[in-house]
Amino acid sequence: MSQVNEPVLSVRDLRTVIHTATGDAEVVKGVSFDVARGETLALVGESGCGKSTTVLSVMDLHPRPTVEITGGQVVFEGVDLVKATEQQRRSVRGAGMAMVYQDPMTSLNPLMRVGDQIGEVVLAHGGSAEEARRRVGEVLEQVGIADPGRAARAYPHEFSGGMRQRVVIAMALAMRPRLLIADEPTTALDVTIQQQIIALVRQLQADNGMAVIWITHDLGVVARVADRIAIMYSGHIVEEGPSRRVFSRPEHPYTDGLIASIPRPTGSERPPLRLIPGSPPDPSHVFAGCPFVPRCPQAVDLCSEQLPPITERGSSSARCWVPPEKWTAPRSGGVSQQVAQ
Amino acid sequence: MSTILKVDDLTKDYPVRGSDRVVHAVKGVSFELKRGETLGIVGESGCGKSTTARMLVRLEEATGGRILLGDQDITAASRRELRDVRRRIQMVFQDPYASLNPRQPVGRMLDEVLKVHRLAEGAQGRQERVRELLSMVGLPATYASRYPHEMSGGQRQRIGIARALAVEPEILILDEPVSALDVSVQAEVMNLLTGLRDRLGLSYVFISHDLGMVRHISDRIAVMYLGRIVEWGPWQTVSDEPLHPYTQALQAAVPIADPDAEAHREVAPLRGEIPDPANPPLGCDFSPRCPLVQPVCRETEPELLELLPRHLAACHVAAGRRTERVSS
Repeated sequence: MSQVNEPVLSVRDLRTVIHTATGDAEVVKGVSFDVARGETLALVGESGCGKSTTVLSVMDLHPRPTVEITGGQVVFEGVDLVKATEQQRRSVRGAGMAMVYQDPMTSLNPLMRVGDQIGEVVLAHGGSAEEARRRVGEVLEQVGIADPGRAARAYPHEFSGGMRQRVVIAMALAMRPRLLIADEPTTALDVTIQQQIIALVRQLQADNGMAVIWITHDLGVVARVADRIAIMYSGHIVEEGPSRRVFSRPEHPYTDGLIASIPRPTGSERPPLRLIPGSPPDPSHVFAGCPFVPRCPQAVDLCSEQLPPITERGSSSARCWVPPEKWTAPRSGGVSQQVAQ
Repeated sequence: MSTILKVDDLTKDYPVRGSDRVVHAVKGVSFELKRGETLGIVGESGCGKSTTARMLVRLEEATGGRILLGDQDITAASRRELRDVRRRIQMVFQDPYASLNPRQPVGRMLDEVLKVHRLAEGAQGRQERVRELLSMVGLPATYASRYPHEMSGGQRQRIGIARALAVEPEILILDEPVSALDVSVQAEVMNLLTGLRDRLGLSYVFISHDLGMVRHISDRIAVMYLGRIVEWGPWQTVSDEPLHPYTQALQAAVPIADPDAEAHREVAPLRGEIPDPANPPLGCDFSPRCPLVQPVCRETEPELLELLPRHLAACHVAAGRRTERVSS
C-alpha cells in the first residue's frame, strides 16, 4: 500500500511530439503525475491514448528524432531528466528505473544466453564480471525460476511465454531499480500465468519498496494491482486518484463509461452492456475543447469550446467541465453499485 | 428446444515434424447446441478451443468423430455439400482486418457473397440486401463504399458479422470476436451480438479466453483444458460455482474490476503452466497443477460425468465429493 513520502518520480506538464511526414502530432499533451516509493500507479487507457509514449519519454527511450519531448519535467529522485546530461540519463535508465514490455522478445536477444543478457546490464553499469555472475543467480531466483543455474545457460526460445516474462523482470531487477515501469506486461499471457506475474511483482515490491507504473487497458488488472490510477485519453490524463475512490466514484464520464462497459462478474442479471459510442480518436487529431466530447453523454456547449482544466475533487482530480452531480445522462454509479444491483 | 448441432467425440491430431510423435490438439470433444442457444467455450492457449471452432466450419479437417448439422455429418460432406453447410453455419474471426480484403470496398465484398450464393435478385436486389445487412449491424448505408482501412476496429468487426449474416445462417461460430477490440468498443459488439441472436433466432458457439465475456453471453459454458472439455453446464453455475478445480482456478485468476472485491480475494496463483500437448501427463491432464490432486488422478483420466443436474465435470475429486454427498 502507499506510504506518504517523497515521490520517486514526479512528472510535470510533459509534452511529447511525433514528427511525421504529414506534420507534427502532440501525443502527450501536458501530463503530470507522481509515483511514491512502494506505490503502484496504474496508467490506464485505450489504444492511441499516449500511455506508452508517456512512459517511453519518462525512460528516455522514445525513438529520436521522430519522437521529441517538447516540454515539461521528468524528475527522478530529485533530478530533472529532461534537462540532465546524456551521462546522467544513462545512469538512471536501467539502474534507477527499468522497463518491462508486453512482448518479452522485445527485450531479449534470441541469440544470447539469458544469463549473459542479464549480466550485460550489470557490466554496462560498471559492475565486475564476478558481480554480474552473482547478480544473475540472485535475480533469477528472485523471480521464482526453479533452477537459476540452468536457466542462465538457456536461450530465450527454450522458455514459455510466462517464464520469458519472468526472465525479463529478472533483467529489469538486475540493478535494483527504485521504479519499475511495466507496459502491459501480462496482456499476452494466459490469465493463470498473469496471476503468477502479478503476485511476483507485488512480492518484489513488498520486499524492496520498489515503485511501479503499470500500464494496462484491463480494469480488472487495475483493481488488482493499483494503489492509484491515472486514466489517459487522447494524450491527457483525464482522471487521477486512489484506486478505490476512482472505481467507486468516477469523476470523469470516460472513466464512468469504461467501468459501466464491463460485464458484471457475479449475479443472475445480465443487462445489456452500457457503451461509449464511437471509438478512441486518432492521436494526431487536434481538438478545440475536450477530446472526449464526441463520445461524451454529459457534454455541454462549453466542452467543445475550451479544454477543461484539471479540477481537484476530494482525493481525486479530473479534467472535466461538468461535475458528476450535474451529469444529466445515466451513469454507472461506480463499480460497487453496479455489482450490488 | 431442438438440437441444431451435435458434436460427437471430435478429435484432431497434428503430426510433430521430424518425428513420429503426434500432438493431440482436440481429444474427444462432444457437445450439442440447441436452437437459439449460445454455447460458450472458454479456455487458455493450447486448450483446443480455436481448433474445435475451425473444425466446425471445416477450415480444419477432423481426425476423428462427427459433427452433425441436423442429420448431415459435416466432417464427411463433399465439396458441393459443404457449400450448403456454409450457408447454415458461418464463422466470425478475432481479427476482422485479417479476414477482410483490403482492396475491396465492403459493399462490393458483401455483394459478391450474395452473388456467389445467388441470394438476391439482380444487382438492385443485392444492393438493397447490402443496405439491409449494414443496417442490421448498425452501420449507415454510406459505409458500403468504404474500404476496411477507413474503418475503426469495431466497425470492421461489424462488417465481419454482416458478411457472416449475408448467407442467412442458423449458426455463428464466434472465435474471440471482441478480443482485439478496445474496451469501450467491446461492449457495443457484445450488445450487437446478443441483439442479433434474439432478433434472428441465431445459435452461437462463442469462443473466448475471457471468462467475463463468456459469462455475459452464454446459456451454457464448456471449459476446455489441453484438448478436452473438463466442465460443461449452465452458465451461472459453471462460472460462479464451478465443480472442476481448473475452472475454480480460472475464475479466481480473472481479476474483478472492483478494488474492494479484489481485496477479499487473496487466492494463491495456480502453480506451473499448461503441459506440452505433445507430452501430456499420465492420468488427468490437470493433475500436475491441481491443488486437490489425489494418487488416482495421476493414473486414470477422469470421465466427463453429470455430477449435478445438467452440470458435467471430468474430475475424480469432484466426483468423489458427489458420491460422499449422495451416500451420507
